[in-house]
Formats: sequence, structure tokens, C-alpha cells
Amino acid sequence: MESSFVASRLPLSTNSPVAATSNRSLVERAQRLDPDAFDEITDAFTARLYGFFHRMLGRQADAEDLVQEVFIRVVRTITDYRDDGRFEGWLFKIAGNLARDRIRRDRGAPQLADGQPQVRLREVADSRSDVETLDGATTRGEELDDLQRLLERLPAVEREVVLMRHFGGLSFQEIAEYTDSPLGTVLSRAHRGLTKLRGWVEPQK
Amino acid sequence: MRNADLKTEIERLERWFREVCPAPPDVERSAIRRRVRVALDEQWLATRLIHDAPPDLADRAKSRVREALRETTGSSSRIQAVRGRGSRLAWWVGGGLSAAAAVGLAVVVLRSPTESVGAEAVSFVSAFELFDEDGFDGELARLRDVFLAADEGLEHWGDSLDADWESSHDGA
Repeated sequence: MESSFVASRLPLSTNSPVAATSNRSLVERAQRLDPDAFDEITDAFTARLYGFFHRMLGRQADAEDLVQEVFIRVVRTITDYRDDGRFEGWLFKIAGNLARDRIRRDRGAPQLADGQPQVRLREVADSRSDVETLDGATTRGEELDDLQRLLERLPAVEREVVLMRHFGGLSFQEIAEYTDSPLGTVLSRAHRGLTKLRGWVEPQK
Repeated sequence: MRNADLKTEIERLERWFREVCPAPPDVERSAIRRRVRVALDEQWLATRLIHDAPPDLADRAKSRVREALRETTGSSSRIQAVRGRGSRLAWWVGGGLSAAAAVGLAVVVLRSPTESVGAEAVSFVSAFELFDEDGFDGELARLRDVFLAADEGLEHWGDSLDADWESSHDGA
């Protein structure tokens, strides 16, 4: 089915008023529990939610499970959602909460003061010298695998901001709100995470 | 746009921001550069981070959504039936109370001072957040265009700012 839901941007593309209006209409239908509206929402967001969970957790089975869980939670809570034109943000807030819960459950990680899990999927030293680079990558598949490995080396709080921006298209303000963190902290996490990633991938530059 | 042109354009926009957004020079320069760098690195990442889902995942999700819808609408119907029995009495009681509350609220609102957000409330962080939120006009549109133009030669051009960036980087 061709989705009428106009997904917002990946970082740096534009939000259009047309998209917001179209999405509002779809959200209204979903709030009336129209099954077709949910089909459209599912079509529009499955890939991005899967990407978010897969990159966040590193496991395909978990990603598939949580994608479905997001949609079920949407069904159960959509009537309480107050449409402020930030449906995607709301959706990815649910996704972020589920991802954090899963990480906590899997790792039993202690909590930081701001409520974020203090966890790395792979505990490795954060130094460039022991990080493999992508220099030898010959295919896009290899490069993606390496990128996943590097993402997993980021602290969860940095990885979450980077991925929420990329897959969820959330503003930093929204991420700050949804993760209950100061805006400056969120910006710093994005900056640190991206700088590390780029430095690991392109250490020669 | 060539790397040198992009750098010049960023510097011009930095000057514009310094004029319209009062803040200590070091802070503003650092904030702008950080935000510019984050935007560039996000574009860089976007060229590498694809998101293919398993082909049948959307269908499986739809199936579970339909189940959840059936459960939700079933629960909703039962709740509606129970609510309906008591609703008539509640309407009369609630309606009276609501009318009184509305009058009270109107008085409070009319007596409340209005607040406006002035230009002085715009920080660099919030200015760049406009970039994310509500579309663009004027110089913010120019800034967006610069970022988007950077997409082509992104892997290389951003490094031309590295030296300056590192020297002004506040270590965040």
C-alpha cells in the first residue's frame, strides 16, 4: 500500500506544512481506531523503527520484536495522544523507552543521574589506537557491518541521540524532552558520538 | 559549491549570528561551530546508515496491530456500555459543575498578565533548533542551503574547518 503518511526528514531535510497537515489527518483517523490508518502508519515507519532498534541494540530479533511492540503501544495509547504535529517524535519516544528498557533488562545496567542507562553493548576502550578502521572495506555490506560495530562502541546515551536524529528525525529539543535531559547535554552527546564515529571511520583525515 | 566557498559562507553566517544573537563571543563561536559540525557529521552518517527492514516485518506488524485493535475496541465497547448507564446522572451533575468552573477559569485568564517571547530569548541553541522545527526563512534558509550543498563533497570539505574547530572547541 502506498502510504499517505509523509515521513519527515532525515537530518537536514525540511519539514513541510503540507506534510504536517497530511500527517494530522492520518493521526485523526488513527485516533478513531481506523485500521487502514494503522496500516499506513506501519508502512511509513517500519523501516525506520527497525533501523533504529537494530542499530541501537545490535540484534535483528530484538529489533523486529520491538518494532511490533511500538505499533501495539500506539494502538493502545493513540486516543490519549494530543496531536501537536509531532507524531513521529511521540512514536520515537515510545521507541526510545522500549530500547532503554531492553538494554536495562539485558544488561542490568546501573542508572546515571539523568536516568539514562550507563551501558555499552561492547565494553571497549575509547581510544583510536585500538579501533579498527574501515580502510579495508571493499563492499558496502562490509562497511555497514563495520559501522554497526563502531556504533556499538558508543555509549548508549550517545548512540541513542545519534540514532534518534537519524531514524526518528527528532529535533534536539524533542530528544532533550523525551530523554529528560538538558538540551546542551543532548547536543554534546550528539557532537561527541558523531565525532568519535567519524574519527574511527576516517582516522587518516 | 566548492569547499572554500562553503567555508566562506559559514563564516558569513557566523558573523550574522553574532549580530542578531547577543552572547559572549567565545560561546557563540563555539556553539555555532559545534552545531555546524554536528550537522555536517549527521549528513556524513546519513550517507552510510541505511535502514532496510526484513520484507515481511511490516505485514507481521500489521497483523499484530489488528489484534491489538480488536482488543482495544472490544474493551472500549464494554467500557462504553458500563459508562452509559451512569452517564445521564453524571451529565446533569457534571454539566453544572463544568459551567461553574468555566466561569471561574475565564475570570482567571482575563486577569492573567500576558507574556511574550522577545528576541533576547533566542539563544544560539534555540536559533539552531529552528533549523529542526518549523522550516526556514531568511538567513536560516541560507544556512540550510549551505548544509545541503555540503552534501556532495562532505567527506572532505568539513575537514578544512578542523583546525579552527579544534582550536575553538570547548571540549564538550
